[in-house]
Amino acid sequence: MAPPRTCALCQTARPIVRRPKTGQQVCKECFFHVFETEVHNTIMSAKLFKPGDRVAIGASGGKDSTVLAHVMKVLNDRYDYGLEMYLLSIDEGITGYRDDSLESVKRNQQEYGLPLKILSYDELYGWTMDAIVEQIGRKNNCTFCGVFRRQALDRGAAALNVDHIVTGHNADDIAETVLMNIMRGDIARLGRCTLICTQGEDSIKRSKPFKYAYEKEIVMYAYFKKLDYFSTECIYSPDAYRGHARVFLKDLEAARPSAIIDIIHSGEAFQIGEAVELKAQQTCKRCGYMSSNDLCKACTLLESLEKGMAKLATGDRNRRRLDEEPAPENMRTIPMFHRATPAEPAAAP
Amino acid sequence: MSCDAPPSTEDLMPRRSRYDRGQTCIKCKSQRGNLVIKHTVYCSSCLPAMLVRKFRRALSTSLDPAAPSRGTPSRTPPPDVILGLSGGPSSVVLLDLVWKCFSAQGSGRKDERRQVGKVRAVHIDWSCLGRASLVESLKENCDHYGIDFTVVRGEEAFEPAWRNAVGLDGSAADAHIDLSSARLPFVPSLAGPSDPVATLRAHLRSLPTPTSVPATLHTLTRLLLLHTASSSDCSVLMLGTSLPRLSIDLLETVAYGGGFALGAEREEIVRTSRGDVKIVRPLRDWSLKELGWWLYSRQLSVPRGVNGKPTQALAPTGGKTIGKLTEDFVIGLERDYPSTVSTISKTAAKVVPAEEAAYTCAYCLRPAQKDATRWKAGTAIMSLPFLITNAATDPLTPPKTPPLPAEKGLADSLCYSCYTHLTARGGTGAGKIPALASNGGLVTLGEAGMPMPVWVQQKLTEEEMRESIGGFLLEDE
Repeated sequence: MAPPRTCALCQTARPIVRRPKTGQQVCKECFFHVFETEVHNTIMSAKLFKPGDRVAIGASGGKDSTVLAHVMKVLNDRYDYGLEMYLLSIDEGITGYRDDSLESVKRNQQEYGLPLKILSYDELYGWTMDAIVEQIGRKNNCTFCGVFRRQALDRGAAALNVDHIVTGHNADDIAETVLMNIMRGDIARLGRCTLICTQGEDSIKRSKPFKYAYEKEIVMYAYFKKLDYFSTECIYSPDAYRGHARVFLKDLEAARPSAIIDIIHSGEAFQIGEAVELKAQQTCKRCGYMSSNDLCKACTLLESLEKGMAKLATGDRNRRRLDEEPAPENMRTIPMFHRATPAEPAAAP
Repeated sequence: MSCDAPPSTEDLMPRRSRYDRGQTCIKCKSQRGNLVIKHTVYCSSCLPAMLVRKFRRALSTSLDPAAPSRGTPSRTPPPDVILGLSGGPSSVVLLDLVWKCFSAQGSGRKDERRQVGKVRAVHIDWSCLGRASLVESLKENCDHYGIDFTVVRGEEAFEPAWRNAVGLDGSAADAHIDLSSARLPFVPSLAGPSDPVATLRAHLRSLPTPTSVPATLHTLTRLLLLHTASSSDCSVLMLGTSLPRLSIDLLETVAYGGGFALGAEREEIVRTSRGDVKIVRPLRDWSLKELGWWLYSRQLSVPRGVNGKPTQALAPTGGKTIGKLTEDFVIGLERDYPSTVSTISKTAAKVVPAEEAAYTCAYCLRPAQKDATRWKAGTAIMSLPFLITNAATDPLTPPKTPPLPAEKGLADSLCYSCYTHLTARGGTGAGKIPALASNGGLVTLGEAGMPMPVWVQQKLTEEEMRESIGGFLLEDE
């Protein structure tokens, strides 16, 4: 009879999982340890934080952000990072999806004792995703949601006066983004999508501590730790272009699991050639947010919604037609972006 | 992220309508169009001239970006060119176009014919792995065009005599490596000289994933072509890589972690023992439809068959390789969204390596980054220096990526993607390659590690070199 298998790491306990990332069969305790330590190593090698940093954890209530909040709390206590952490949630206004997932965020807030701020699209833009989808249909609605969420996160973070936002983007997300940006020729994004930390001129730092964590391992961690997360997918259609890259990536991962980390390595190994001209960053003339045009993408999209021409807003070619259309009376605009200086007191979450 | 649901078939990109620019030829604006290429309509009179221009433009850009304008005599002697022929549709088109543009019989203009010197063709024959031999039909084709034709057998990559014939350093013994260690240390060969076909099969059989097999054959083919070009004193190796094939190669390179040398997939200069060889791909902007139209209009036959795939004989059962998955993906894009396929190629042209190359990979001869093979070790913990008792409560020692074994090996001379091919394990969908499971009735090699191609040699360290010449060194004053 063959001897019972033992964990590839501690060599004593019975293995219960095969790590998708390495193929090793490991026990539960070793899995928790290496998962957390790898995230810690990622944080330390990129020098993401310094003691006293105020950090907002982007919390959607899904698996990635729930595990991120848990791991950040564990690592902050274990290694004494000295971080002041907050949960920051964006309420896109999707009935039957975000309202339920926010309940999960609220339960996590109770468990971890972290302050929570919720900022809604309705509050910031005067539109909910339900209303947006009502006007434009399901096609391209992810464009609105993605652009609005990015700015909402920055504005929520500014309101909390934090230095840093951490998000639950994992290795699969980053590999997918590399493929997607190659496929659509988005050179500007291709150049920065593998960076672990990005910072706009006027904006708050954004980091991805799960940059090298496989999605499957995040799910395993949540499952074995019995974390409370909301697993239902968005009720509106997913980003079709990303979906194309995702199907392909999942196939590649099945053929060779290291493909995910290999794609990230590829993305890190090249950079944009000097001959390629990228648009200079400026600030939006209407809301003060960082932008590569006179108006930021969020202001353009909001204007198109207000004019009832949202279907034209997702392509640059239609910008002139949008400009020619007179603005309605009392057109809603995004409030001017204002980053609190360190001397100013933080807003109450 | 949680809001990105796994897509279903109907969630994928919507299909674009075709014929979106009318039905009149966009060039002459008078004839009714016969073919739609990337949503643009051409008539059968304008299309050949457009395709020849496209071929010439790509070739000129690759051979000499600062070349004098058309009609001006070139000041430098034109390079001798070797054509790498696979027997597929694009290599047949390449052969035909080269003849048409650069021979007096093919009606190439005199000044334009000066762009290239002597032209010869070479084919790498992998019939030893069970593929149908295309040698006879390719020879017939080349004879028809009056182009010299050479065949190199795939197993020559493991033939010491071939190494000497192409002028590679023959002083070192054949290299074998131990795949069980992450540093891939060299091990002594227990067996004596062996049959190169058996060595080739042993090399392929040792690869840890089916995905590595076609990728390795691709690299071996490229290196055999390069060394043949170099030994023939040809400074240009011309390949018939079409746009979809280039996009497949680019995405595959990214998926193997070879982003550092991404630009090399489009165009590269490789330093060999006898000089530099430039690899050019003048059909890199040709779609499958354009290739098909050229074959049809010129009544050309394809030795391999239009649908014949070189890797079919080595296809795994129960799964697909990354190469095959990428091919299916890109061919699907080419059919439905041709602009996306072109975008992949254009994107690759805009990126450059993020740092200076530290060395040249011993296997593929492409530039490699410093510590390329140690990067992955920093992303995953593979061993623990202590036992875990209760990670949640017990104090932990400061974590570090476990140090890698100090032993020297081939890993330190490889690029990231070659290292990955030799070390990455397969997943649930990896499948098995039946053609390699058995050794084809050939003598099994001794357990002497994985045999390497003849150009991969163990480099001596400075101490080892000093030791070998120690008897001749004079003591310092």
